[in-house]
Amino acid sequence: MTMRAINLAAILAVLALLATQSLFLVRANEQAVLLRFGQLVDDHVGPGLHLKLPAADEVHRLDLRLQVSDSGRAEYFTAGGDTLLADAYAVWQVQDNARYWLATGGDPGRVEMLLMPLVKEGLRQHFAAVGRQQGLAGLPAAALADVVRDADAGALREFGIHVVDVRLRATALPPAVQEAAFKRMRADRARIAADYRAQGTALMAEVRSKAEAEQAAVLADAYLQAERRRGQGDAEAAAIAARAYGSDPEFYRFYRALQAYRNGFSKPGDVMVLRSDSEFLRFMKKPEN
Amino acid sequence: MAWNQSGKNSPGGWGGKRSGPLPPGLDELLKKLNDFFGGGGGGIGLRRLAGWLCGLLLVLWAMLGFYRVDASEQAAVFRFGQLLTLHDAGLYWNPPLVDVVRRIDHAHVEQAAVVAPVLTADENILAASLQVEYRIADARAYLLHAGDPESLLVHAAESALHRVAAAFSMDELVGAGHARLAGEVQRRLQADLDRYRTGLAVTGVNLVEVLPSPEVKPAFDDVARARDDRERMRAEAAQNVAGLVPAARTKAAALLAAAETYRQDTVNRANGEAARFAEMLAEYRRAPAVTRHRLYYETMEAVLAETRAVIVDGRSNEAFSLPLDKLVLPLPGRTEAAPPAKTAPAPVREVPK
Repeated sequence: MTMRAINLAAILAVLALLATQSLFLVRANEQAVLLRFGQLVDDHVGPGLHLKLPAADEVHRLDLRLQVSDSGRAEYFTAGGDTLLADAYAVWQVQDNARYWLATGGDPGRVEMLLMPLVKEGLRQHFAAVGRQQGLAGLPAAALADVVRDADAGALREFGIHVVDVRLRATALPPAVQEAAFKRMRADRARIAADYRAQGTALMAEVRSKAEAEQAAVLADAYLQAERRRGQGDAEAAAIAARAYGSDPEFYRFYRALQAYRNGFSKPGDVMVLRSDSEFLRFMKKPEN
Repeated sequence: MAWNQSGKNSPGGWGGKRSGPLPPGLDELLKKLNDFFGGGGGGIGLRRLAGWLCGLLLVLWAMLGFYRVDASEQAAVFRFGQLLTLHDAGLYWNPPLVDVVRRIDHAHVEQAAVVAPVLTADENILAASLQVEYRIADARAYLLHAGDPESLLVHAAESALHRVAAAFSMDELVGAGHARLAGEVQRRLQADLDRYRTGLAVTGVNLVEVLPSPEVKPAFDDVARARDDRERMRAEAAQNVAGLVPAARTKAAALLAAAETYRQDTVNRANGEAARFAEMLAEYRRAPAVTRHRLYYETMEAVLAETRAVIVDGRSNEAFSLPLDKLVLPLPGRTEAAPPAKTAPAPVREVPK
C-alpha cells in the first residue's frame, strides 16, 4: 500500500517535470524561436502557452518591443575639416527573428556592437557634407532620415533588425576648441562686465552734473529775482525822492550838498584846504559884511 | 489554517520548509494523507475533511480573483502571456494564477529630469536642466510597443533639447527664451514619442534652469556683480548729490530774503529822507536866508570838527605846492610831523583839532 502511494507520487512528479519541460510561455511583447537539436525549426512562435519536445527542443524568447542603443561619444569631421563630437542613439526593433537570433543570439547588447558601426558610418558621411555650424546644430532632418534608411537596409540584411530612428543626443566641441570657446565666452563676459561698470561711472557723473546744473539754475534764478527786487527797491526809492525833492530842486541841491559834505569829510586825518577868501572864512577877516 | 486541525501539536503552516527531521505533527499528517490516497477503511471522515479543504481552497482562489480598477487606472489582463483585454474602472474577476493583471495608472503624472550640456547658436556652452512631466496615455502601447518607454523619453528629450537650443543664442536662452524653448522641446518630444508609440503623453516641459558651464561661471558671476555695481553707483551718486539742490534752494531763499530786506530798507530810508526833507523845506520856506546860513555853518562846523583845515591865502599869486602827504601822515595832535614846506613860505597855518 505504501509502495503504491510512492509509485503514484513518483509518476506524478515525472508528469509534472514533463509538463514544465514541454510547456513554455511567450509573453505578449515577445516572439520565440524554437530550436530542435540546435536546428531552427520555428522562428515565429507568438504569445501564449506552447508545447515543445522536452530535451530535444530549445526555446528562446525575443523581445519585439522598441529598443534604444547609444553610440557613445564619437568624433566626426565636418566639411570644413573641423572636428566635432556627437552622441547618437538608434531606436530599433527586431524584425527578422531568425536572422536576429543567428546574428546576436538574442542579446540586445550585441546589437549595439553590430548596429552602431553602421550608424556611425552613415553619420560620418553626412557630417562630412555639412559645415561645422550645421553639424553642431544637429544634422538636417533629411540627412538623419538618410542615415536611418541606410542603417535600416544594412541591419535588416545582416542581423534582422529594423532601425526606426537615429538621433543625436548631443554635439560638443573637441576639447581644444572647447577651451577656445570658453576663453571667448570669458572675454565676452569680461567686456560686458566692464561695460556695466563704465555705465555705472558715467551714470554717477551724469547724476552729479544734472544735480549741479539744477543747483546752478536755482541759484541763478534766485540771483535774478533778488537783483530785480533790489532794483524795485531802488526804483521805488528814486520815485519817492523825485516826488519829495521835486517841489524845490534848488533847496534840495543845497540841502543834499550839505549832507554830502558832512558825510564825505568825516574821517579823522582828512585835511581841508580853505582859501582865505572863501565864503566860510569871510567873517574871519572882518566881522561885518 | 486547515492543516492545523489535523494535529494539535503541529508547529505551524510552513513547517515543512524547514530542514532537519520532520516534526511529529507533519509526520502524522503525511500518514493521514497516505491513508487518504490509499483509500483505507477508516478514511470516511478524512475524505470529508479533504473535500472541505479543497472546497475552501477553491473559494479562497476564487476570491483572490476579484479586483477593482480605479477611475484613474486601466487594468491589462494577460492570459498565458497574451493580452486578453484592457479594463477601465470597475469591479472584475479573472482566474488567479491563470491570468496576470497589470494595473496602469494613466492619471498619475511622472517626472523625468534631463540635465544636458547644450550648444547655443552662437557657440556658447550652457548646462540646461529640464523637467519633463508625462503620464501614460495609451496603456496597450506602453506595455507592448516600447521596451523602455522612460529611457526613450529621456533620449528623445535630450535630442529635442539639443536641436532646439541650437536655434537660440545664449542671451535668449538665459533671458526670455525659456518659455519658447520649453514649448518647442515639448512639441518635438511628443512627436517622437508618438512616432515610437511609447504610449506616453507629455503634459509639460519646464526648463528648470540654464546655467553657464562651471568653466565660465566666474565670468558670468562677475557680470552679475558688475550689474549690481552699476545700480549701486547709481544709488550712491543719487545719495551723494541729494543735498545739493535743497541746499541751493535754501541759499536762493536767503538771497531773496536779503534782497527783499534791501528793498524795504531802501524804500524806508527814501521815505524817511523824503519826510525829513519835507519837514526841513517847510521850515526853510518860512525863513529861507536864515535857515540856509544856519544849515551851512552847522555843516561846516561839524565837518571841520572832524578834519583838519589848512588855510591858504587866496590873493597870493605865488605858486606853491602843499606837501599833502606830509600833512596827511601825522596823526592829529603831533605838530612836529608837519614841518613847513621848503618851497612854501606862504602862510600855511595848521589848525589842529
